[in-house]
Amino acid sequence: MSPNISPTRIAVINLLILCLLATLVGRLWYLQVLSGTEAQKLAERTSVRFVYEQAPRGFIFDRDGRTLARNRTALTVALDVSQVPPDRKDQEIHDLAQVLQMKESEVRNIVNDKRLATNSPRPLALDVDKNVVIYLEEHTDQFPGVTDVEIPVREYPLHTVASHVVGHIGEIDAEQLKRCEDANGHPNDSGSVRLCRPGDLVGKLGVEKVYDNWLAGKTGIKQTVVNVKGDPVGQPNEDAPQRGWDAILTLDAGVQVAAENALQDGINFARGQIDPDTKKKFNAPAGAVVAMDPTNGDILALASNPNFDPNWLVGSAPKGALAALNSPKANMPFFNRAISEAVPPGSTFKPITASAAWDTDPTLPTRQFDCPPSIKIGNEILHDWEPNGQGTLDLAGSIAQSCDITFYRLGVELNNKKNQYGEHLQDVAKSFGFGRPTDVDLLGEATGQVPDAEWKWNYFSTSQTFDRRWFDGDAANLAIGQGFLEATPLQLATAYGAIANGGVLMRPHVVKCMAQLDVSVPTNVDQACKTGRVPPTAAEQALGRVSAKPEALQFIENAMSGTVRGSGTAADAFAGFPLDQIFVAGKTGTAQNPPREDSSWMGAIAKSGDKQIVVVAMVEEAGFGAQIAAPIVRRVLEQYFGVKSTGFHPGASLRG
Amino acid sequence: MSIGQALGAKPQLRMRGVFMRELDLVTLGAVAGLMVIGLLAIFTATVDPEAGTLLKASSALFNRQLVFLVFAAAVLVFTVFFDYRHFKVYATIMYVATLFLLLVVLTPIGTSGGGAQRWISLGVFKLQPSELAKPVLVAMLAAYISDKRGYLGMKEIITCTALTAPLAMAVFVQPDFGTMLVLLWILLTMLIVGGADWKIMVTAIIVGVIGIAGLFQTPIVHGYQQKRLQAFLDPAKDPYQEGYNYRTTRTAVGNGGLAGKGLFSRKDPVNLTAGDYIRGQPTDFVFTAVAEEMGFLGGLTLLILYGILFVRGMRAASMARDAFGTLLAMGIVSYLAFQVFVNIGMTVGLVPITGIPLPFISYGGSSLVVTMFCVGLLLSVRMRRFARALP
Repeated sequence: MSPNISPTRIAVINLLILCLLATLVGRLWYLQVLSGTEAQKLAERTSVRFVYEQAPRGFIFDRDGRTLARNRTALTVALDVSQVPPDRKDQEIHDLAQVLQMKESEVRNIVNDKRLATNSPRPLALDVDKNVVIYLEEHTDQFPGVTDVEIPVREYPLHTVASHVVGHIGEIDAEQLKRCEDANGHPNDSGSVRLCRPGDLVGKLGVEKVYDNWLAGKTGIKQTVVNVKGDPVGQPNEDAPQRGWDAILTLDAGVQVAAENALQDGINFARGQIDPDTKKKFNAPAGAVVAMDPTNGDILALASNPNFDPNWLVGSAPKGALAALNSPKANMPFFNRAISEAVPPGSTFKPITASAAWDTDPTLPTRQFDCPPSIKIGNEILHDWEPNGQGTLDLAGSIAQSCDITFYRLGVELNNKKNQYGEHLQDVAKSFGFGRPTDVDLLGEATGQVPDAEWKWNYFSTSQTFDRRWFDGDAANLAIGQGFLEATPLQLATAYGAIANGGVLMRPHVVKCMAQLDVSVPTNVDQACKTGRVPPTAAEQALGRVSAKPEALQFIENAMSGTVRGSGTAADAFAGFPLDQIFVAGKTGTAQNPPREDSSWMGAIAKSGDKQIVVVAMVEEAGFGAQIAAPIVRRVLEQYFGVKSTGFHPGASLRG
Repeated sequence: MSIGQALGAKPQLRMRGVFMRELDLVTLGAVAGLMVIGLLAIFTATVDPEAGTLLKASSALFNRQLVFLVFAAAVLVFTVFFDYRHFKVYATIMYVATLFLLLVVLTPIGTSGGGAQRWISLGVFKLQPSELAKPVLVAMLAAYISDKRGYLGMKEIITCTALTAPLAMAVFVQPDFGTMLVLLWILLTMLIVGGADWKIMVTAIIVGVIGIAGLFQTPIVHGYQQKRLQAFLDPAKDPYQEGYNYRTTRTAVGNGGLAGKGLFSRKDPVNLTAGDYIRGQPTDFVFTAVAEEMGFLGGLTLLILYGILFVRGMRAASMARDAFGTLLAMGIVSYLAFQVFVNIGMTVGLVPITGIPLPFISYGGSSLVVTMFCVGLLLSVRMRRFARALP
């Protein structure tokens, strides 16, 4: 024994070491001998691992088979997080962010997202440059778990065209997820059972959303049995994903483009005009156009300005574009003014007033009306739009030249016949579809408003009793489409459709049919719809008959044809249009909406051969209907009937 | 004539008192047994079951381990004939050299793997200086303490800690938390055996434990270390990431039962080169292969072999001629035992996961060579118990 080393101390260490070894033996005895059988069961225990694959989404076509929405493949860099060693994660996130030119926090959020499956690769960046992919492939040891995959990305080849109707897709949110889960196991309206997972892409707006259950198809499931180490046992069981239905819309891309361009031209032109009332240029911040077939409710065009490019919402937005879309300056491009904006339609409502008046006065068509510059109703002086008055006009002339005084009188007369006919103007208006949704297959439709005595009483509940009563003045305002009357361009189009087709209110719809197509070949629409299905929301359906005499509708339609010729308000705007070949009956409107500037409206019916169409154009704060809205309507008709266009053809400055 | 004269060749043997009969065959036998089990474990952990013959089936890893083993055996032989007392003289130089290498590892010259920068690449072979640091520290402390006549007061204790600190920190920064623990354990053992004042030791241990616990709360300790500790304490909480290792190894060990599932019963090999860091089977978790395939009996055999090695080593310490020999032997036995306890302990869920290799078994050239070197030293100490002092 060496000097100076205490044997006791050595013995202590020796004992410690032997104790450590003994502990290990004891632990092994416990694990292997005592608990051995349980561990064995655990080791052999298997569990089922699910891998989900979202199905390819159906395409969207217009009525001639032109593609409005489709899928393309994008080269993507994805990361399988389960392949990344925990101590490498931070470093790899940092490196990936650098290589992909993303923010580190962005990469980290995707990597740490608990909602995504742990063993599927997570897409980090879309449309990655090929060189980046090559770099990553050359440095696999630095980037464990990184793969490049081609994933389907939604593409809208016509960009801003029909963006409100087509809509866009986006990541499923909590509410949509919950609704999907609540329906668990039950077939939805498309007949299939839907599986929704976090991270799925679903429709957010327009047809993409309304018909999401059809377009989405059936998610594929792959079941693998794995043991406790995660190794697969046996063959996986696959339930392949099923492609969704393709949607064929009633839209005519040609008419849609013409409508959108004309609308933009109209807005641009209006912004260059001076408002005679304010002496400043018109704001013309927004507008809408609706074109539909009155025989079946097919919507041929639905435009709303400002609009947006849905491609920006599926990953390929230029820098700052999305922020710009959401800024107040952009003026709510996602808001569909054609169906969601209910405002006073102005003189375009007069045909309905005429129809209501006809019911109470059969002599109406032959009566002569005095059209002075103004008239006294109750204690108010109400003016005609034409400061010099318009002489004496019959009903037809009052419609064509839009004499306000005539309709003030009719409104008051109807109001005074309340005891006999009830609130007849309001009833007729409601039968024409005002004040209730048209049930179109798009979301966000406004109901509009038809004011009556009861409504006014309740609306002004905090005012003095005197002010709550329904006066002649209110009736007069209603008769010319002002006051508290509110309607959407679509409602007006549907109402005019009833005038066009003899009194049937047809439900408007944007989808023609859903079909299962082979999208690698050009689409034969007729064939497709024969073998496809029509969802209930898209079926041709009559909402009802309007409360009007057929002869009244006939007369009114004829009277409206005077608007676009002779001394009609829109004669200028339609100068040169082949009215001898194409029957056009319309009504302009200049709606007052204080404190904002007047809005420009026109609704028109056009027929030629076996083709019929109703067009409504509305531009906010743009002045006279004849000046701005009428040329837009003309341009749409030119496109539909194949007339050579002379571009935007503004009418003279006429109100009414 | 003396045996030394008879054998003649090397200068060391000419000293009287170095007897070949003192070459402890029991230790050699235990080491041989450990080598065999080690090779079996690596072979089975990395074998390719698809290959036809056994020869073809051996993986690249196994072949390399075989080469390392041969080389390490040569080192063992050389060390046996080496007079351990020279180590006392060379301790300082070796200390400086090792510290230098540890710092080199941290520079861009160093090679990373598995999230840590621990190696220096020398072409075909990767040198891991932290393995070297362990016996070097033992020698350094042994050299210092052996002159202190069996009592270590405050000043001596602080000096020992100061000697340990640079190596420990250099290792900690890599990061290699496991090796740092081993170095601290070496410090502790050497102090106790060297005669440190009891009261100071107890206080220091308490402070040390509190310090380490405190370290875990701060960001200095890497996130994954903290996660590992949490996962150790409750593996059910994070079964797919950190808790994964605990669940699977414990289950695998238990699955071995009494007699094991049989060699080569694993269905597929673990491919380290493909980046299977999580399993880490041929390196840190190699005992899982032993436990699962050879069962309790296999594990027991392994522990008995280690036990024999340690007991013989402790006897060598008791029989050593000088204080340096005793301290050297005790330090070596102590740190090897610590590694065995921690490595197997983490496989069976007694100890949180730290990256410490299992001596003789885990894949790794540096570990194997250094361990054989240490065994050689043990043998050398025992062989020279009757030797005369060095000139």
